[in-house]
Amino acid sequence: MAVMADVDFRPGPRREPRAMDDLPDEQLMQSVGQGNHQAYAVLVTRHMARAVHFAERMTYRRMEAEELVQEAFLRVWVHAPGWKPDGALFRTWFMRILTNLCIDLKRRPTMAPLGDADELQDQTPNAEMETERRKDAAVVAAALAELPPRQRAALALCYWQETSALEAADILKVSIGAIESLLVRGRRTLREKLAPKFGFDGKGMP
Amino acid sequence: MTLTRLQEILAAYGADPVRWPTAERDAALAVLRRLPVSVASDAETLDRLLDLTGERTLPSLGTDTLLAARIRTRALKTAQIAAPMPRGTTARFWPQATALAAALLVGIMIGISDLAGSYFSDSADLSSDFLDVTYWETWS
Repeated sequence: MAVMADVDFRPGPRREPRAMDDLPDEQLMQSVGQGNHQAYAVLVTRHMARAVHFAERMTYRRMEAEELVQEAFLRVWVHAPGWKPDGALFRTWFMRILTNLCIDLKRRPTMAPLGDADELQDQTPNAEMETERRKDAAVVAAALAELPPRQRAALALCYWQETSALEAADILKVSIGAIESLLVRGRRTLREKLAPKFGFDGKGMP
Repeated sequence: MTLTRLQEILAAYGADPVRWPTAERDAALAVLRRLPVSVASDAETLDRLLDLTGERTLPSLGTDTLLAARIRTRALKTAQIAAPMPRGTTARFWPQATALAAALLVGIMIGISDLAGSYFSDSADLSSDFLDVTYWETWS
């Protein structure tokens, strides 16, 4: 009984090991560099959706996007032992790998995959509206697919990924001015391509 | 913030201030409020069109799980490239290497001394016999 009385069941001052999910990317990368598969899995889970989203914006093909994301993550694994943060975020480094892979792909899609609007006919209460929306989306996607890869990358990063211009510049290894230039040229080209169908009043653009 | 700069921001980042450069956002909004709404209308139209393509690309959870599994499997089959030794590591490396080399040297010396001891003890006997013989042959 005396022994039982000495036992303290209250949580002690001992610190619980920090869950891997809570660790910052850069710390996880150190573990990945030592061959830790669990840390790698956490990094993959954390960044995969965003990466696929970006790659799909760049390739307009889901299968190709997934292939590129797999390749980018494989490079993370392979090069992890030599990875040094050097003040850069893991996310920036990883997105640079992925962006370069997407740009290097060079193959342009012949058509955007969003187009088959007929598939959805009569499947929703506002089928007609939905079909129209899908058709419009296909036209926009086709115009996006025709942009030069670096303009598309800048747009995908800054518009859909909501990456800051500073980080986008870091990913593409250009100045902020160059990023803005890519964005302006990309959006201007889109406007010109889409104007016949959607109409722009030409206001607010330099 | 000039009107020209505001127009550049609209042309580059679109009409949603969330995407504008943080450092310029407030100033750009202040200028925009003083201007007719139509200044941003083309940027808004293009944003709306771009948003039309925004839904389909979101990956589904099931596909994500499969893709994540494929990525991890590929990593399991692939060797990592050994990194060049970081600077901090060399600082830890040399004391350990020196201790190991010292231990090795001591071991070698002990080994040599044993061999030498046995050799010299044998050769000492032989040499004394040899000396004795030589001495007597020379002076006798």
